[in-house]
Amino acid sequence: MSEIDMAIIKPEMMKPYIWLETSDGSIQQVEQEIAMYCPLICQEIIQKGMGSSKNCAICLPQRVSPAMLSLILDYCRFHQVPGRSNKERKSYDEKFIRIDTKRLCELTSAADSLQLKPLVDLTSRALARIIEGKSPEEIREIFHLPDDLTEVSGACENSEEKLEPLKNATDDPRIRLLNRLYAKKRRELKERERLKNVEAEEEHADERSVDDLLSFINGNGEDPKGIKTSKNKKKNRRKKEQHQKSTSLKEASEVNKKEINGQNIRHQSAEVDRIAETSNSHAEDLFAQKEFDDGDIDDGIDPALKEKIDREVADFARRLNSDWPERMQEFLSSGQEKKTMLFTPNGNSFLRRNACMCYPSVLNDFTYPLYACKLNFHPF
Amino acid sequence: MVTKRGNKNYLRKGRNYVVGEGSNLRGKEKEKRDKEDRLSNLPDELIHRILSTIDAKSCVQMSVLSKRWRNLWTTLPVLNLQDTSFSDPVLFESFVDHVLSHRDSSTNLHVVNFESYDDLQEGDVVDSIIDYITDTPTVTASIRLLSILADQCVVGSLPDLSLCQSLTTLNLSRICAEATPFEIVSLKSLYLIDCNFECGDEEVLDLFEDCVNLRRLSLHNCNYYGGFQTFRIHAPQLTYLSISWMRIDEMFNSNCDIELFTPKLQHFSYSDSDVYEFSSDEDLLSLEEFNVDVLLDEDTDSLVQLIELFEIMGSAKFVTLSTSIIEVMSMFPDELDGRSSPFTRLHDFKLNKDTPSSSTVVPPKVMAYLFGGSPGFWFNRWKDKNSRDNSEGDPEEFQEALSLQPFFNPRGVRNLTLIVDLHAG
Repeated sequence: MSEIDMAIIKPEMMKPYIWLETSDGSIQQVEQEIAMYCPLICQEIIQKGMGSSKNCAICLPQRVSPAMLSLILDYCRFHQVPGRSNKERKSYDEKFIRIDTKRLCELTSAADSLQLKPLVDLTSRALARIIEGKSPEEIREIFHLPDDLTEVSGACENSEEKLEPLKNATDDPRIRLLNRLYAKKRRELKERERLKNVEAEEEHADERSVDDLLSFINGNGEDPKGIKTSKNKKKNRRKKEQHQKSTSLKEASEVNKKEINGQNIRHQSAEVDRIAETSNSHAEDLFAQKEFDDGDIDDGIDPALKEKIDREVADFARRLNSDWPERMQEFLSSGQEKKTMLFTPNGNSFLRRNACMCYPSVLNDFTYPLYACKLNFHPF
Repeated sequence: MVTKRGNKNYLRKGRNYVVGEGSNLRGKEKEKRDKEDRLSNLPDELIHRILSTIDAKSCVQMSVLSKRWRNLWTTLPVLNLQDTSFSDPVLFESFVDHVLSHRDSSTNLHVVNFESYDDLQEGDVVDSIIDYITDTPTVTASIRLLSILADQCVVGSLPDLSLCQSLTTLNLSRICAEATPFEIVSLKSLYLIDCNFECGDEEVLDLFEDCVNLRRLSLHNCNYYGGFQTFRIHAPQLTYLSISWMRIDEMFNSNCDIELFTPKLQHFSYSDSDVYEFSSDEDLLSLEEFNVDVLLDEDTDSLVQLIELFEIMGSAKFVTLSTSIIEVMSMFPDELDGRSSPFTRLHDFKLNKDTPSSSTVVPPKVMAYLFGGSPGFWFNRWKDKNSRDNSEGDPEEFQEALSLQPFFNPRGVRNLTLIVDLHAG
């Protein structure tokens, strides 16, 4: 039956208004065009013929309160207009989700029950941005989550660099297993490193093993054996680690430029900032620990070399901490420049190296952008 | 709503059961409602959706939030394994190991995003992920998107992916692998970026023949070690093809030719510093978009290859060329002699300028060559893309359309896109 047929046979179905009933029992009239933007409502109207009068008002799912319905209708009212540009829509969306988290959760739930996928995506992503990068306490605070786990250790909630994902005091066999796994890995690495060192004795003090870094990081809670054997190498490790960190950051920030169409530049810099933050705090951490360690070290390093290393480490940490914002700007803008330098007369390798390290936006195939340069990707 | 029964007040509809003085009740009730945990009240599916854009480490860390969150991470259908939040590659590898082994293996896993920029010590974490995917029946059947970025990592288990019946998108970045054909029947999109492949001695390299459903293929900056003479792209369903910076034994090997068997191709993009020899048995009649971004040498060889490519892509309606092409054509107009215009249904022509400059003069011979073959198409006026009466649509839209090709980056390139209009006549 075509629409026109339906109009002739049942003129009241083409009325511009639809009746909706919300969870609290109240009934309201809504422009049909707007309400039809919600798949669930659309279904009710077309398949079941509901909503044409007050008596047969469409009963909305329980999760849709009047306040949420009002918000959702605002959203629909804006987006169902076909003539809007993507830019306008995005801008509207950004403003739209600037509501308190309580309502954001409710909105997600309501949109989900109405099967309004674009809005669910929007709100889910907004919630993800809120959650991401926060400590558990902060998350609990924001969302009023009950603190009902039997034991929660502070260690776990602290510096992300502490690392073991489930490092807490509950006697979880999985955690024990994981710790064993780590300890085993450390031992293996140490073994390997020692063999390597035997062969290459002139290795510069700077190139200490990752293993030493590992033990160092976990030095606080871990295997005392680990600490003792690697005490001597602490300072050098630290330096190497910071160096490693800065190069991996550099790369991370470069590859962060994955979204070429630039719509996520804001997002990218937030991402990069986050990396910056964690590494920053780590650098400070190390720095503080250096102070602490000074007292009880009995390492066999030649004091002159030790001093030199100390100075270098301190210098590096200071540099890392101080010119971070400038360097970030540099990375971000150099990322842009690299793209303009697609073609220079100079030669292939340079071009290739600097050609967009951009990842195609595979997200186009699915509805979920992954983070940052991150990415994107999930079919749901 | 509150109803009074006797001395006590109850809340209707099973809300928080509050017993207290009547007058305070409304206030307390509201307060309690305000403090309600609305996030955890969302169904699992929605929480999974929210977590799908957050890295796995954070998701696992959220298990300390509350009882509700304790095991949510074990049923995540999307795993984002990025090493950027780990300072140590070994810890990252252990983490990946832990997550996979403690995951609820009876739940679906749709997406795995793996990114590692550090030099992976042992290098088999990628293989272990692929092994997990192919050894766990629920996962093998449910995986839809696999994305791996592993700097300089040698991956050995790629052929096993042919077991995945639902895998529709595969992205491989920076890995090194043997050039075995991709035999993933369900695959629709394949992106290979910055990869290194070790090929055998065969003359013809055909990696995609068994991906019968392949729609989109993007080869960017890949290097193939081997002695092949022909790189064949056999993909009967392919609609989108993008090739850039292809290297053989780390060089541009002009002896190599690229054979296309892509009858349904709609979009073709090519970017490099030189042009390979292309061939196609069939006419690409469905072609809509044709983009070439090359910096041609000022000699005739590359120009000739390019002209041959134009012949293959002649059905394109929307053509974008880089200015150096026009410049080199202007330098050697004799090459255009005796050649009819390759484009027969040109609708829109754009020039990509990589450096902003005053103007590009297109000599009449070149114009005739480029535009003469399209009936009804003649030079109308140059239009600045950024001008107000740009009927091409929002500049943002334009950029989005090109965002599918990673090496065309309008944002970084200051474009003065000169648009020549089709004057409907």
